[in-house]
Amino acid sequence: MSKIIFYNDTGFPYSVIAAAIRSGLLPKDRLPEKHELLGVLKRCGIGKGDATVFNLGNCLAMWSRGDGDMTGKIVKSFLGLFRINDYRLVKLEYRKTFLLGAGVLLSKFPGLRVLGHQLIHRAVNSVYRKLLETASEKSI
Amino acid sequence: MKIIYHCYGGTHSSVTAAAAHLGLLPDDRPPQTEELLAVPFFDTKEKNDHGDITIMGIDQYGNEICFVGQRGKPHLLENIVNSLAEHFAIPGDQFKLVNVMYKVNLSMKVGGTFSRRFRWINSGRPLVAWGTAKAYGQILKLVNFVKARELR
Repeated sequence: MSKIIFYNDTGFPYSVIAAAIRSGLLPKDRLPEKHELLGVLKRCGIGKGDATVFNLGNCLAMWSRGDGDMTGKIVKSFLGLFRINDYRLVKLEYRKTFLLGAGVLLSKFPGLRVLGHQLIHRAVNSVYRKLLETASEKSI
Repeated sequence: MKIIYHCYGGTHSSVTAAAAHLGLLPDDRPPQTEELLAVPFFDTKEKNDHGDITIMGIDQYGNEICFVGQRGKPHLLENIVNSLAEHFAIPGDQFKLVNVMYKVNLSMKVGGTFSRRFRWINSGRPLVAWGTAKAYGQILKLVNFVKARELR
């Protein structure tokens, strides 16, 4: 079975969430609870992304801040060198919102972590349905 | 094995290193401007080519010699390549990343910017070629080090 690699370059791990949905680590029939979402995000980090590829069950995910065109080409050309073709690369175009940025920032401070996580949860929930549609598409 | 030389734009220092590795450039003196300009891909790649790992040739030991541009973010390239290798079960001894970016001098940076970013090729290309010839000793030293390690 070919692997799906979700990636985005908007500085937040939307690709991790999409991969988790596709792999069944996050629910497909409802919005995730805060602990479910944070449980997945904490496995890979909530930072801006250094293009490390993470394995989330059936799917892989990577993210960075900017340079999405370049990171996509690196993946394709590197795997091409080894004649590996059994994968699908899916770019996500979800942007990092102000609310999300604020949540990530606040989550770095021990006293404000709970508030930060709350904001991240709210911001992700606002795009979760769209992420769910993308991640569940049969064509990918 | 795939030996991947990488630098900022993937068109000057990494291409020169790959050409030196393949014996397309002299190993006993700095190359002339004409020799550098005759190297395939030298000063030709554009911004939208960054990240595209290109094979230049195969050396006498059967290694595929490649080059790529990483926009001054070698960690992105290294992270992607190393983690993909892990997930797709590519053995670590099947590829090697070599950063040539820190061998680049000021003339190469200025000439490269003129030629590639601003499209001032008439002024940028001779300058980057001159700078590459000046840096060639250092680039060759790195290439010889890589070759020596591969022979071990």
